[in-house]
Amino acid sequence: MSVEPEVPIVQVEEVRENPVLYKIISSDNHVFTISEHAVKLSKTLWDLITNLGLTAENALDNPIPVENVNGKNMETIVQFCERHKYDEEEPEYTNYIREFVLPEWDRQLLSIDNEELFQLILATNYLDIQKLMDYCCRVIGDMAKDKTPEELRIIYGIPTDAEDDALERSASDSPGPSG
Amino acid sequence: MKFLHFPILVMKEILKNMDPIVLINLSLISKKMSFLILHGNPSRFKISLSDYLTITSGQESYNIYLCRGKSNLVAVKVAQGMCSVNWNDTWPKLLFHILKVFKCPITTVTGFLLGPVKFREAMQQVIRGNFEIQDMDLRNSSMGSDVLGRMFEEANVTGTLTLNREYESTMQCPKDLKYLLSENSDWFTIDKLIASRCVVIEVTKCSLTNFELDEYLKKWQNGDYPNLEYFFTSGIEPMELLDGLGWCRTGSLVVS
Repeated sequence: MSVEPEVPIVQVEEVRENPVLYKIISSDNHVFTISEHAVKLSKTLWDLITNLGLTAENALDNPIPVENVNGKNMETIVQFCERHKYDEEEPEYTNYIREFVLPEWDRQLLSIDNEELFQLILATNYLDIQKLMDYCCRVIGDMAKDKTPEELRIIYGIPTDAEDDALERSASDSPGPSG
Repeated sequence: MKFLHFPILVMKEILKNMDPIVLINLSLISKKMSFLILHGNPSRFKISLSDYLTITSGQESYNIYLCRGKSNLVAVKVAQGMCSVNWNDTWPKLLFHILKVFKCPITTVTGFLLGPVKFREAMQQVIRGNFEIQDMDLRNSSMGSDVLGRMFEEANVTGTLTLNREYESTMQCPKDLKYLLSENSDWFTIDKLIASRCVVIEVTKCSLTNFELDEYLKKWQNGDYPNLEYFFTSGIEPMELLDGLGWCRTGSLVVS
């Protein structure tokens, strides 16, 4: 697989420390390099790398296309993975709310508008990055603190019962595929 | 953001990270949302009733005030300060809503701290929803035998019932109860012993006669009443000593 020469290459500073690099192409054709330790945080990407048999020698010549994630989200994800690549493994999930403090660096990284956060969570889910998912969920959960149901409804874009009923009625009134 | 457009696994992740008060407020947005709350794994919460309606999640306790009458906001005390639930009805109805949405049992009811009026109001809602109560501690509670007896005919108490007051014969034992610990058990007659499905019964000062107890124990030795594993009583003397039964000189009987 070859890389388009005019495609911008996003280089995250921490990447340069690690000799084993992989290339990822986002849905809008941005190319990112990511270190081996960092890419392992994404179960989806690491499975793909393993299944494709990519090695230190051939990794850079075989960029991995990720069609479900755009360049903006991929940049955030690469930054996150590089930042956390040497973190210790998380303790087992208990039955309670996970007690962790969201680090300031990550809070800044995730200080984006609701719609961007929504897209980032979808990308995180697709790439299966548990730690980023935890952090995103914490941000979403923190939005809900001290809010009334009406405020929550607006923040999360949840329809009222009346809106749900109207949607159901219009769905049942509309003609089916045949006509 | 369209929360309902998230894949279900993502929704679960988000809801699992929310505290119970946020989940209650979310459940009030719409019927659909109240069903989705189950994905937040509310079985991780322990709900208890005493001087507060307390929801415990790990180390954190959310104490909901049991205020009289209706109010738009129900105050909740937490370690870091106060928060609130936007509930426009009485607290027993809020209890009903929480148990219905979270689908988890009440872990403990402490009657003495709750007081008789609130206890009755709470139990009406618990019985209405056929919700489970695990343990009920009625020591020093002033509830009367008639009220409790009627309540226990319907209430789904499945763990331990602890009593220490004297009751009349109208007092009943909840039918699915596992452990009965009762002092001053004059109300506990042979009919109630026979009807009981308890695993452990500790009744002191009960009204069983020697003859009744001997008959019961013989049948138990022959395989009747299979649920019973441990029985303790005091103040009576079986006429015959049955094999395998412990009998103390102080006048108490231990069967296990």
